[in-house]
Order: sequence, then C-alpha cells, then structure tokens
Amino acid sequence: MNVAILGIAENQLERAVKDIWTGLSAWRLWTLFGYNDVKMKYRRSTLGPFWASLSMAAQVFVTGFVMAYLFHITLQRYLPYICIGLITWSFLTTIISEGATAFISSAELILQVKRPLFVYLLQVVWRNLIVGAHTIVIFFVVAFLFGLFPSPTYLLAIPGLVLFVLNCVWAAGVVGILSTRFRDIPLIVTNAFMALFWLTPVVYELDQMSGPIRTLIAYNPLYHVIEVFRAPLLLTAPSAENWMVAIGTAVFGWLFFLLLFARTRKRIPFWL
Amino acid sequence: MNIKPDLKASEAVPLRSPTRISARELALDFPIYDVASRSLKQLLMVRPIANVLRSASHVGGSIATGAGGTVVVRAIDNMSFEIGRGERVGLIGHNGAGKTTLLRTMAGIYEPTSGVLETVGHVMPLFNLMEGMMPDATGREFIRIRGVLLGLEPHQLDKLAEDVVEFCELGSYMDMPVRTYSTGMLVRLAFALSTSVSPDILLFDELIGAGDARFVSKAQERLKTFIERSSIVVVASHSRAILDQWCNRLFLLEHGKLIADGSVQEVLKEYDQRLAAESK
Repeated sequence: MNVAILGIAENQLERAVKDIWTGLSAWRLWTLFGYNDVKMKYRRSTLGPFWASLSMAAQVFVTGFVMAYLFHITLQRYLPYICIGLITWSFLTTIISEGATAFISSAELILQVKRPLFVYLLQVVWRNLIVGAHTIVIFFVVAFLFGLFPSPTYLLAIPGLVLFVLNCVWAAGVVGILSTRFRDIPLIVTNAFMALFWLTPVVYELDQMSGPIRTLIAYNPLYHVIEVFRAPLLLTAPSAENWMVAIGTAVFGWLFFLLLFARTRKRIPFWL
Repeated sequence: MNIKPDLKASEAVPLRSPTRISARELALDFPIYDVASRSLKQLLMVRPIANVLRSASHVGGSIATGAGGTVVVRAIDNMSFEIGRGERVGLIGHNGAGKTTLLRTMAGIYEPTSGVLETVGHVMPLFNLMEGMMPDATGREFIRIRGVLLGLEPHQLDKLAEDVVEFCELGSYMDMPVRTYSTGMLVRLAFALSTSVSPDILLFDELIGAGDARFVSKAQERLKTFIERSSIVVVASHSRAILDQWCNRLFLLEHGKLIADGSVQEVLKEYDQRLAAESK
C-alpha cells in the first residue's frame, strides 16, 4: 500500500537523496523519455541522429584544417586532438545548457503527477549520451585514419568518462534548478560557454601557452575535467593534477548540488 | 498541534481497507512570480525599492509578502478533513478558491507549508488527459509512453495496447502520428489510456467533454466503471450535473478555506445562498 505523509518535519536532505535514488530506479521512464526526445528530433530525416555525427565531422575537419595551418602543426597530430576536444566540449556545453531547461520544459509533466524530479534531469543526460555515442564515432574513425590504434591506455578512459559525465550531471542539475527560479540563467550559461571555449584547451593545447595566460588556463577546472577523458583516448595518461581536480570538482560539485536540491526541491513546482 | 478527533471518519474506515486522505491544519503558501520578479536584475536592484513602495497596499487578507520579498498567496488555509473509503468528494468554489491547488497537494505535487496531509493508497491525478503526448509520436508510441508513465511493466504494455486499440476503434490510424488525428480521436485515445489503470484514489480536475456522440455514451460507461473501481474520488468541477451524479460529499472552498463540508444538497444550498448574497 502506498502511504504518503506530507508536511511533518522531514529531513530535506534525506528527501533529496531519496528523490535522486527513486529517480535513478525509474530508469524505464528516463531512458524512454530521452530516447523519444532524440527520435522526435530526427523523425522524418533520412540520416536520423547521424546528422549529429555528420555536423560534428564537418566542424572537426574545417576547424582542424584551418587551425593546423595557423599553428603549423601536422594534421596527423592535430586532427585527432581537436576531434576529441570538440566532441567532449560539445557534450559538456549541450548537457549543461539543456540541463537549464530540464525542469522548465517538463513543467506540464511535473504539475501533473508526483514523480522524482531527478527523472527530468536524467532524461536530459540520457538524451545527450545517445547523441554523444553518435558523435564519438567520428573520433574513432579519425583516430584509425591517423594511426592511433586502441591500446591498454584506453582503459583509463573509462574512469575518465565516468568522472567527466558525473561532473557534467551536477553542473546541469545546479543550472537546471537556478534557471527554473531565475530565467536569466540559461542566457548567462550560453554566453559564459562562448567565452570559456577560448579559455579551455580545446582547439589549442595547454603547452602552446606560456606566461600568465597559461597559469589562468591551467586553473580552469573544465580543462582537467575534459583531460581525464581526452588524454587516454590520445594514448597519453592524464596527470595526477588532472585526476585530482576532476575528482575534486565531482565531489564538491555533487555536494553543492545535493545541498541546493535539498533546499529547493519542494519549491521547484511553484517556480514553474 | 491540536488534532481534532474525528469519530465519523474513523467509523467509516474499516481497518482492513485503510484507503484514506486526511489533512490536519493543512496550509500552503503559494509564491507568485510575475515575469519581472524572476529575473536577477529584479532581485538585485528593483525589488528592494519596490518593497518600500509596496508596504502600504495589501489586498484582502490572503496576499502577503514573504520573507524573501516575494508575494505569497495563502492558497490553502488551515484545512482539516478526513476522506475515507467509498467517499466521492466534489470541490466547488469560485475560480481561485484553491480547488486545483488542493488537488495538486493531495497528489503530492505541492508540499504543504504547514500542517500534515496523509494519503493511504495509490493516488492517480487526472488533470491533463494528454499527458506525455508528442505530436510526432504515433498512436502506438503514445500508448507506450503513457504506459511507462503509469508505471506499467513491459508485458503489461502489450496488453494495454490491445485493450486501447479495441476500445478506441482507431484501426490503422494507430501507426499514424497523433498530429494527424481529429480532436475526437485524440480525446478517445487519451481517455482510453487515462482510464486503463485503476487507482485507489482518483483525483479529477473538471471532466471530459469532446468526442462524438457514440463515443460519449461508450465513454460514460467506461468512466462509470473506472470511477466505481476507485475507493476514493475527488473531483473539482463547476458542473452541477457532474457533482450530482458522481459525488456523495461536497467541500465548498473560498479563499483557500474549507467553509462548508457536507452532503451534496446541503453544500450546494449553502453555495447558492452565498452566490445570492454576493450578487446583491
């Protein structure tokens, strides 16, 4: 029998953790929602989600050729680097900026039936993982063409990917909550990413920089979060610093998200 | 907290079937955000000034300024009630009296500001028949989406699809996108899906109208069995026909307060008297 008692002095943190847990266990719901989002977006197009792969490929090759010429680097070395860089960057920025509207765009569903709110965030995550799986294909093709064959270093990419995604999820959650309350946030986020793109080693490598700008960029946590996934795929091990920063932001980010979610969970339906 | 003993309710609820909704001194404050107050600019710059200006003018008793400077409306004000098995409760009152808010609170969507609300049994709100409808999805996909929304297992989904296809008589349209459906077909499909699972506690907001005449008579039958299968029904409606037909108890709400609770006739009489008094 379902029993719900609302209004007694309850521990909000406990409720938030419970929301996340029951949200995760409702995997049937968010996998279907996320899958449907992708399906509906590309319905009636011939290539379907491979449009995501195609547009990523175009972006990689165009940026790759121009930048390799500008930087005087051989394509063989540069193209795989920029390829995985752009793929991870695009995943990170899309998941966070779509996270901003995770609750807003599901307002009808949220006001209809009581469900864990975390489900709507997981829907965004799942949708982006599906698209991400289509774009990463490009990297493996490029890597193969330029002779970066899979090696045991690839195994490091697994914890790297987990850390990278965990970091994306807490950030999407924080932005999602704040955006529901303050509708400027989605716009701020989009603009912030435009600036951050040039402050994060994606089209260039950190070692190409020197002086104070290098120090500034090395402090950018986005660099470390991306590097723990990117480096192993390029057959180099991430540095201890990369791991530490990525783990640190994941731990503190999740704690921050949990506290914020505990504080706001009850109010989110009122903000819609 | 002072909890009033309610003998009538405890008699009406046998121990072996404890389905019930009980509220004790339930209150809910609803923060109001107009478009401007949601923005950061408003929070940082405009609001401190506006607060000074606003302090003089409060309309009525239910609108107040909350701690954070937001305007709050007391949408549910100190309600206590027990709804037991077999009761069909109608909610009446003006627009803005708190009917929808009370239903959403019973559904667990809004959590109370103070007081306690307890529900025992599987609660199913039915506020929007079209929940989860995506215009590009086919009828069959929509059935799947709704099935998962209703919490069905994969093997139940196939049975649901069969059941719905048969009831709706949609035939080959089942594999067409729902945006190609006529309103009648949409209502038929949405209605069939919404009534396919029987909850213990059913919450309705207004009722269903569209659809062709033949469907309406068929729907009445389905609606009737659907409602009869639920132990408790709470419906917000302006339609006296619906209240008369479906309810055996009415709540009259005004400014978030429960001002009358009794049989359908008693409360409707009270409501009419109030309406008459207001129009004078």
